[in-house]
Formats: sequence, C-alpha cells, structure tokens
Amino acid sequence: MHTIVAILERLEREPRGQTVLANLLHSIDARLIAAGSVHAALQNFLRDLGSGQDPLPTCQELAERLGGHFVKQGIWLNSKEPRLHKHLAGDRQVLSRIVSYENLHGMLTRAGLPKRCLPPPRPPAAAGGGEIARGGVPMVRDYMQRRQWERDVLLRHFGMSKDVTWLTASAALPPVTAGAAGLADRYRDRLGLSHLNTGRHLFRIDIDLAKNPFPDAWHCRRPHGAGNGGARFRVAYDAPDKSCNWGRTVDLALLRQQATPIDGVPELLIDQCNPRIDAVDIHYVGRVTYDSEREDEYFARRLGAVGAALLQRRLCARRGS
Amino acid sequence: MTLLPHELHLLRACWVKSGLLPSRLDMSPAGLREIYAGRLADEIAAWLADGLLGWQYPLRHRSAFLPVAWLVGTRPEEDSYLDSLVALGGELGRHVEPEFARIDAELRHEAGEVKLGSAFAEGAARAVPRLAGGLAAAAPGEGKDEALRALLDALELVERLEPARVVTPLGAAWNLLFGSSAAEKRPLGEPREALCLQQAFVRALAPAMHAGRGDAVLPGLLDMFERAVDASGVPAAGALAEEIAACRERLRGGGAPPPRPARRRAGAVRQQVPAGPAAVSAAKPARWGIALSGRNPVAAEVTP
Repeated sequence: MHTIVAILERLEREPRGQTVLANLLHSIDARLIAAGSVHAALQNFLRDLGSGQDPLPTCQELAERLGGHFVKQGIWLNSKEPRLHKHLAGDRQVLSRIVSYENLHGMLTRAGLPKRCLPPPRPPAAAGGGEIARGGVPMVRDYMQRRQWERDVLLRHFGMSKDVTWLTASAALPPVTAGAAGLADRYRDRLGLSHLNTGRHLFRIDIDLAKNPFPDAWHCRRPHGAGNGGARFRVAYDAPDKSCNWGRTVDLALLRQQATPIDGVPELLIDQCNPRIDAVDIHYVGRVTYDSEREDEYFARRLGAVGAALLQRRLCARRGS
Repeated sequence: MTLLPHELHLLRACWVKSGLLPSRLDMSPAGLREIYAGRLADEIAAWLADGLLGWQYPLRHRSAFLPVAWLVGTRPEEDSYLDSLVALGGELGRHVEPEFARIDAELRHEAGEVKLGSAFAEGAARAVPRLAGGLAAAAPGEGKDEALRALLDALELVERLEPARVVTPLGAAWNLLFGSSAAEKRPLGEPREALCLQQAFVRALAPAMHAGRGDAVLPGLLDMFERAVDASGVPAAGALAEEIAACRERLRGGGAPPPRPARRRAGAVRQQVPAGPAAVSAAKPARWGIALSGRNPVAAEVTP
C-alpha cells in the first residue's frame, strides 16, 4: 500500500517535484489552503491509486496529477479573495488573458465563427512563420483589431471552458504596439508562460469589467493545486506588500538572468469564464522568437529547499492544531 | 496525456459490465464482437453525456467525469476541457479491451480486438442523441441553456474524434431537434444559438461527407442548414454558405480530398492544412477551406 510519505519522498527526488513541495508548503504558510485539506486531498489521491499493486507514479506524473486532483477537490475555492482595486484602479478596469493562436482559434470556432474566416493553426515549428504563415499575419491582426470576429461569431458569449482560468491586470502589461520587436517574447516571459515556445503567435484577450461584471465570489488568489500552474508557478513572491491578495507570475527573463526579484505581473484565478463578446477585445501581440528557459533545478532552488519530512511534519502539526 | 494504470482501471470499471455480452454466445465471432463493441460504446456514451452535462453546472469539479475528474479540464496549456477528452480518446486508442480479448481467447473465436479508443469515439457520437433528447425536453430556465451547451460540446468532441459511424446517431439527433415532427416543439434558444447548433452538426458530420457513402440524410440536412442560414441574415452567412458548398462538393465527389489534419490534442500541434486556391492575399481577406477529411483510420481498424 502506498503512503503519503512515499508520495512526498518521490516528489523530493526531482526538481519538478521539489517545486510542488515548496508551493504546497508556501500555500499552507500563507493560509491559502488548509493543511487538513492538503492531507485529505493526498488521501483521496491514494484511495484512487488503489491497492498499491500498481507502481507509484513517477515524479513528473505525480507533479501533474496532484494539481488536477487538488482542482477537483475544490480546494482553491477557499483561497483568499483578491482586492481588485489594488491593481484595477483607473477608468478602464480590464483583466487580460494571453493565449496562443491555436487556443484563440478554438475559442472563436466554438463561439460559431465559420472556419473559413481564419486560417487553421499550423504547428509552431512550421517553416515561414510558425502557427500563422507570414503572409497571413496582417489579415489576422486586422480581423481582430477591427472586431470583424464579433460580427462573424454566432454566439454572444466568449467561452474559455476550463475549470479555472487565470487572468492578469491589463494595466500591468506592456502596451500592444504594431510591429514592436520582441513583444511576444516579453509577454510570454512576464506572464511566466513557459509552455509557449518558438513559433507561437500570442493574442491578448481583454475583458472589460464595466461591461461584464462578474458575480462577487468568482475570483481568488491562486494556491498550489489550482490548475497545476505549469513548470514556473510559485506561490511565495518577492514583493514585500502582499495585502492585495493577488498572486505574482514568475518573469522568465529575470529567472534566466538569475536576477532578484523575479516577480512578473499580478494574477488571479476565476471559475469558468464566459464573458459577453461586447466586453471582449482581442489584440495581436506577435510571434514568440525563442524558447523559454528550462532550468528546473535552479528554479526549485530559488523556491527554497523543502524536504518531504518538513512538509509531512507541517501537515501533521496543522491537522492536529 | 499518459493514462496511469489505476486510471484505466477506474474507467473500465465504469464502462465494462457483464451485460456487454449477448445472452447467446453461439453467434458468429464478428457478430459477437460487433454487439460487444456497440454496447461498450453505449456505456461510454452514457458516461460522456452525464459528464458533458455535469460540466455546465457550478459544481462540475465534484460531479463531472467521475471517477477520473482530475483528468478533465485541469491542465494549464489547455483552453477547453474538450482538449482533455480528445487527449483521453487518443490515449485510449492504444488500449485493447482486455475482457473481450479474454472471452475471445476462451471461445477460440479470433474475432479480433475491441479498441477502447474506437469505442470512446463511437460513444461520443452516441452521446449526441441522448443530449439532444435532454435539450428537446428541457424548458427555458430549467436547464435548457446547460443542455444546449452540453450538446454543442458533444458535437465538437465528435468533430475532433471523428468516429467511424456517425451518420445514424447524429441524423437521429438532428431529426429530433429540427425534423418535421419537431415543428411544434419549444424553440431551442435564440435563433443564432439554433444556427450555431446546426453548424456544429454539419461540422461533426463533415468527415462522413464524401462520395459513395450513400447516406441519404446528409443532402437533406445540408438543405435545411442552408435555408436556416439564408433566413437568419447573419453577417457570416456568406462564409457559412461557403462551408455548405464545400460539403456538397465532397458529397458529389468533386475535387481531391484535402490531407487529414492532425487530431487536435492538448499539448499537441496541428499539421498544416494548405490554404488551397484561396490563399493568403494582402489585398483581399482570404477564406480558408474547411477540413473535410475521410474516415478516421484509428476507428476504421475495428469496423467490420
């Protein structure tokens, strides 16, 4: 029979797992999730794993699966509620999401956009421009800029159909300027989107809260376990003032330089996000020109050494208190 | 996505039941396999229909796609939970249903394999009439919006999984919602939503539209969609008409079939689909061809 200790020790073996351990501990310390909830989620994971006849998943598999398990336990819903005014002050209160062309194309066709209105996404590694062929970029950019997509879609809601979606304050992002060199790389790096590499074309989806106010309890700060977070997610960040209750992305460019601090932009989580299309603006950002850094070991070190034994003690202590 | 052993066990525990076998085992091996695969697809259809509908409600993380809920809609690189289901279908394509293989060996039939991936794709198609029935029965404000969204998602899943046998279940669902007997039923929603639903049916059926299939339902279905597009007056009517024209061309057998696009999986990338004659032009906005691929080779492997 597998045990929680065995899972934690397996995670301790590799940098990706060490990152998970550190984020779990920091989530508990910051009171984003309760130690008892983490313990219960790990027990549920063990129950699903069965009698122990199957081998314990690898470190990488555990790192991926645990995030999904924690989302499904709904742990993140009890996290802290961000104070929106801290980062959304001003005339236009706008939240943004950065997506690749493949993601955007899927969202628009799901909203009923005829497929003949936009070129199908190509593999990012395709010669001559990546996801969008070079000659097609002006057309796609104009199509978004002139809001022709709004005319062509059949549904009146824009569906980002995931369990949780993370968004950032639009004001924290660099302005989108046509033809600005390296802008997509900067966006990818500032938002810590380590899975978006060379050849991806990035788009910024802005949601105007004045036109589409969400219900009160829809947003929260992201603890570990809410949408696994990818390889470069961290709970604890460098800025001393944490009273806003927003999280921070990791700036991949600063991480590559091994700089301090490595904070990116403020981010928060929301439950399913289906804004009205008249509240949505889409901007073409540009093409990613180089891959993100891949120093898992260094990143794990930056998060601090958190051993399996330390987390196990914390789980037991907090459950008992 | 790689399924862990216990995840496969959990899924099979949902789907594989003793009732999958016919009561008499003295039929032909191919017939036995056909019945087993069909009933397995029905079990998967029930699971998928429940999950797709459950996803539309606030407590989806506790109720949809049990007992493997953590596999669906949780990965950071995805923007739709359907990406997870498509990836799951692709992963299941590598697995043979072991219970049927054991029975087959015991009977010394050598009837061949039942692949879980094919059954999953067939199950997606068979989930459509279930969800269409729910939509037809739902009253506005009492689950109608959720039923509509679940049906749209099911049709996208069918479009992306490309099951081998899709015309019969989707044709039945279409008739239920848009056929002559549906005239007195309550409206399906806003006119644009109904149009979007018809568009989703056509997209899901597009791979089945090729010359020689002899499916009489498809031309009539396209006629109805075309009339709905004409009557709607939506700005995108021209682009929708082009999609319909491309489907008709395929039904007539005109033109060479386009290369198959890669199945869209989470984390995977699509293969390039050539723009064709309406290539990119800076002066004139281009139109891109709908990908009308042929039968799904994975699913075709188990088609008798």
